[in-house]
Amino acid sequence: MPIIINLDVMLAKRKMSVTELSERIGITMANISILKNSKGKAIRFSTLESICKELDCQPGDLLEYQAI
Amino acid sequence: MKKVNTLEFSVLLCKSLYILIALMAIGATVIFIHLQMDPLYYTRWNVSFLTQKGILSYSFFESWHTDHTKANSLIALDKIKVTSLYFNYLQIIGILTLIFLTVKEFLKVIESVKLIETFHQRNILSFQKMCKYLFVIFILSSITIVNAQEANLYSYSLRFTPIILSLAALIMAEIFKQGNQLLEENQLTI
Repeated sequence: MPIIINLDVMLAKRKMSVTELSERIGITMANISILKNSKGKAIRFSTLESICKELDCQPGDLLEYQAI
Repeated sequence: MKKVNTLEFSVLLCKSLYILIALMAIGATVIFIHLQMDPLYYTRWNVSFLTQKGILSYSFFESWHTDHTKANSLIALDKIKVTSLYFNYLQIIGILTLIFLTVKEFLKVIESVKLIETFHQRNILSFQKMCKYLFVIFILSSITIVNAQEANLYSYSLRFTPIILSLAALIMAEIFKQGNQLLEENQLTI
């Protein structure tokens, strides 16, 4: 997939752990891991909204397009 | 609740078919062995091997040779030659085995539907296997070779029921493949 999710970069910037984020937004660690490793096929707007809210960022900070 | 009852009925039907197939295989084996031990017992057992005419069958080629002019096309079981007997026995056992395997795969699909794992990868494989088995049944059932002492029969006739079921299994495999893709997409939507 040419869409990269920079979740780990944002987590490092905010000095927040994956466990903390998963607890705050109510998503399992397994699903966060799928997102982080760009294995997911789609992301719900509600999930994106929650992540942006907790990490205080824009969707563009999390999503990146890389041409293969 | 209604869905579960329907599935339970299907499972029961499949298991009844297992028993029926096993009984038919045992019956064919018993006749096959007993026919060689005591052929005179089967003198009055007349069997017609000619293709039954119907909507779902088409006879391409049928050759019937007989030494005597007979009004009917019956062959006494004890008059069938040993090689022909072995060929027909193995053909019957082969068809019964393939029907058994097809029913087994169908039962696997029903069991997975009961566990709400309908669009699992193994169901696609089950339908693909069913397609192959039914195609072989179609090939096996189309050939009839009977060599008897007084008459010979060579026939190649298509019975469409197995090929229709084979195509249906192939279509079901494709439908389940699409279902599996949708399931994976749904599971990977976060």
